[in-house]
Amino acid sequence: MFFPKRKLIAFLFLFCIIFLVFFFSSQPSVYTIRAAFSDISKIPFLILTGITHEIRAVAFFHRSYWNNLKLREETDALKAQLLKLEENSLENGRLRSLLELKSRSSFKTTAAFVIGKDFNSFRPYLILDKGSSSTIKKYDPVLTRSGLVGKVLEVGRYSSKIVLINDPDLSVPALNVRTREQGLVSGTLDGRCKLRFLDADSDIKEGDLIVTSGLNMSYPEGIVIGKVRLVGTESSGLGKFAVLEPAVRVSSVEVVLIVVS
Amino acid sequence: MIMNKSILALGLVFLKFALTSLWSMPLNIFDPLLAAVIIYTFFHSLDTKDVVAYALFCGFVADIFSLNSFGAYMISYLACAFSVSLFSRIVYRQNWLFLFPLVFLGVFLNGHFILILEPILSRGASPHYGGLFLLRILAESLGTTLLAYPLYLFSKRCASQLIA
Repeated sequence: MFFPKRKLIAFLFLFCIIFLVFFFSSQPSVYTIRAAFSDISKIPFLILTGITHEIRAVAFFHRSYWNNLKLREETDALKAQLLKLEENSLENGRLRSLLELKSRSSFKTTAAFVIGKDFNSFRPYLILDKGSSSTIKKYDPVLTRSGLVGKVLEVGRYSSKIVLINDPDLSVPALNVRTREQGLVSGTLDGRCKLRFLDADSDIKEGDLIVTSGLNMSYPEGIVIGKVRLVGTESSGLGKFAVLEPAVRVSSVEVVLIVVS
Repeated sequence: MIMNKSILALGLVFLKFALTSLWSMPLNIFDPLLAAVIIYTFFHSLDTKDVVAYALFCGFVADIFSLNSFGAYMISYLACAFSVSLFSRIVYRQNWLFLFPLVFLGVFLNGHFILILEPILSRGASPHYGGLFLLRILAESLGTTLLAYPLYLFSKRCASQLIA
């Protein structure tokens, strides 16, 4: 014997535990149980969200005053822009009817509140207060009025967890609005979003708007992802990539829309 | 007031979510649950059975409230507890100030353990390791180290069984 008996037993015990963990991690039932736990913890999360909102409201009272002044100025500027856009929209509608094209924004959404946030480096996620009882399904896209947030990954009966757009494992087919060039947006470990698989001679520029292309049917077409902040060449030299500034600031999202059909 | 260490672990998960909501930045700088595991390991490093049980329990709780592959935190917390236990046998255990470098080291190692474990458990590709990721891990280690002091004081005051 190389080991004393006790050490051997301890070693075998640990080996068994690690083996069991590896075995259970691939069982779907474990994730169903986890979703059930998420449902149970919905009430504490709701209470917690209420408390943190109140604390933030008191703590940021002074900042809110100055933000309010700034926002008023912005609202005036946006009102002017809106009038111009309404004009364009009417013109667009007229031209569309001439071409007999159907309206593209034909997806149905349901609103949900964010009751929990975790921004760990490996899988940042949000907990929502709605689940399968509100017709939410796994892999449903999640967005806000400003743009894409992510996709539903775990659904409980009364709550769900969504993986965010800056997750390294999430891939979204995307399109450059200016050049119509397509690529794939995914997250990185440092929390940024990258548009990959662009041609080496791509004309992508800083400030270009990136939207979903609707290529794999899982995301509706035309949802804003973000703007190009930086363009670089892949280490292989075979293509370009772009670092994006997401349209949605995921840390401050409070209400989201889930595309249910 | 006597607080059970298991209830404390559950409370610390909710504390993490509350701090993330208050902090409102897309960056996680506190891991109170891991800090509790390291504090417990530091003061009970000679009692391996208890250390393993508590690390597994806290890992289980962390796995329940995460979106990672199930078991990633259980194994990483266990590995972390073993590493800290090993170091705490080297340093002078009666001086509680040694706790803070150990918390820093533990959180730093935990980040790297998860980085190795996650692709294995999810059977996915290993993400690219960048300098900014290292900065995020360092920020989390520093934040958790700062949080370890109030947690240590709280445990001492409430006799939460974290401290021997």
